[in-house]
Amino acid sequence: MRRLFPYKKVVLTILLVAASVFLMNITGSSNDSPSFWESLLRTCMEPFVNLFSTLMDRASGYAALLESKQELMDENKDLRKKLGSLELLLAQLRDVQQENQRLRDLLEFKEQSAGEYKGADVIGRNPSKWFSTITVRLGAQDGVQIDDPVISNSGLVGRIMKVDEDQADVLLLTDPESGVGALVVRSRDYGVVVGGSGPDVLTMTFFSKDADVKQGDVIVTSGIGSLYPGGLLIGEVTDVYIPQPGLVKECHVRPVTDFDHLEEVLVMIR
Amino acid sequence: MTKRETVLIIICVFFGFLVMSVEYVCLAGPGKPDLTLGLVCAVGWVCSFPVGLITGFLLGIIKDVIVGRFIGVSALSMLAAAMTMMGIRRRFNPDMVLSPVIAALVSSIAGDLVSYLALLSLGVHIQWEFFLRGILYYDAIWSVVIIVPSFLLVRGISRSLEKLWPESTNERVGRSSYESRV
Repeated sequence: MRRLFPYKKVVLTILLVAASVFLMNITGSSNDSPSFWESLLRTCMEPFVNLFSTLMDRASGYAALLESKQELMDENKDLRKKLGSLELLLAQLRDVQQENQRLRDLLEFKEQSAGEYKGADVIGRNPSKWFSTITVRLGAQDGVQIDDPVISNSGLVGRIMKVDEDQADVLLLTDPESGVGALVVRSRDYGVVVGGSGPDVLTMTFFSKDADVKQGDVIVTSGIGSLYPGGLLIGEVTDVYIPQPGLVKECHVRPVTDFDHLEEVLVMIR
Repeated sequence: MTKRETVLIIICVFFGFLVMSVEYVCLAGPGKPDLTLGLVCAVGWVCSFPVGLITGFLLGIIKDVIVGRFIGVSALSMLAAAMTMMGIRRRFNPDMVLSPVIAALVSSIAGDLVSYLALLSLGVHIQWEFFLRGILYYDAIWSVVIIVPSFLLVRGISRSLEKLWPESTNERVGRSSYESRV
C-alpha cells in the first residue's frame, strides 16, 4: 500500500483532468439538448445554484438601494426628453411605412414575413469574460423560440440561444459563437460578421479580397439565411485589412449597440 | 486525505460561492478581477496537494454550471492554475512575500491558456489579440493584486482549523496546511 503512495497524486490529477475533459466533451457535443450527464450534474447543483442566485439577488437589491434619488430623477427627466423625440420619430416612421406599403402595393412586391416584435427587460448578464450573453424576461410562454432575432433601439443585438418558460438567454453579436450574414450598404458586398474579438469590436470577413469596403462604411444584416431579416443595422467599419495568407479581406466593425448598457430589447417572434 | 483537509475543502468551496457572488454582482466581464482564480491560487499555495486540486476542480465545476457554456472548461483551467501554484511553491521559498505573487502571475496565465485551448478544441474561436489584451493581460495583473488577500484568508482558515482540530499522529497522509509543509 505504501508503494502506491507516490502515485496517489498522479492518479488524483489524472482522474480530475479526465473528469473535466469528459464533462467538456459531453456538454460541447450536444448543442441542442443537454445530455444525461449534464442534466444530472445541473440537477445535483440546483440547490446550491439557487442559494447562489438568492445571494446575488440580495446583493443586487442592496446595491440598487444605494443609488441616489437625485440620480433617478435626472435619469427620468432625460428619458422623458428622449421619449418625446422618439414619439416624433415614430410618427415619421409610420408615415414612411405607409408610403412604403403603397409603393409595394404598386409594384406588387411580395412581403416577407416580418414577424411580431415583443419588448423584453434585460434581467441578467453572463459575468464570464469568455462569453457574451444576456438574459431577458420573455420566454416560451410568450412565444419566444430558439434563434429568434433580438434588436435594440439602435440596432441588432443577437439571437435567442436558450429558452425557459418565462425567460430566455440571448447570444450577443460579440460572443465568439455568434455569426451573422452581413453586407456593406454602400457597395453591397457580402460577408460574415463574427464575434470573439472583444466586448465592443466585431470582425467582418468578406468572401473576396477585392470587396469594396472602407473606413466609415455602414454594415447591415444581409437577410441571406433564415436567422436574421435583412437591413438591421450592425455597425460601422473602423479599419480594413487583409489577413494572412491573403485570400480574403477582413474589417473591424464597431457595433452600434452598446452591449454593456442594454436595458430593454425587442425580440422578433416568428 | 485527513478529515481536517475535507473540512478545509468544504470551507474553501463555501468561500468560493461567496466570492463568486461578489464577483458576478460587482465585477462582471472582461477587465475585471477573477476572484475565484485568486482563491484557487491561494489554496494551491497554502494547502496540500489533494486539497488544492480538489478545491480547484470543484470551484471550476461550480463556475461552469453557473455561468459557463461548457461544463469542464473552468474546471480544467482551475486545475491548471492550482497545479502550477503547487509546482512553483516547491522551488520557491514560501516565506518570501514575492513568491506567491510571482506564482499567481504564472498560474493565472497557465489557467487562461488552458481555457483558451479547451474552448478552441470545442470550436469556440476567440481572437488571439482579444485573448492577449482583453483577458490574459488583465487576469495576470489582477492575480498579483488578489493573491495577497486571498493568501491571508486561506492561511487564516488553515491555521484556525489546525488550532481547533489538531492533526492526530495516525493521520499520515498529506500535509494539510502551510505550517505543516514548512
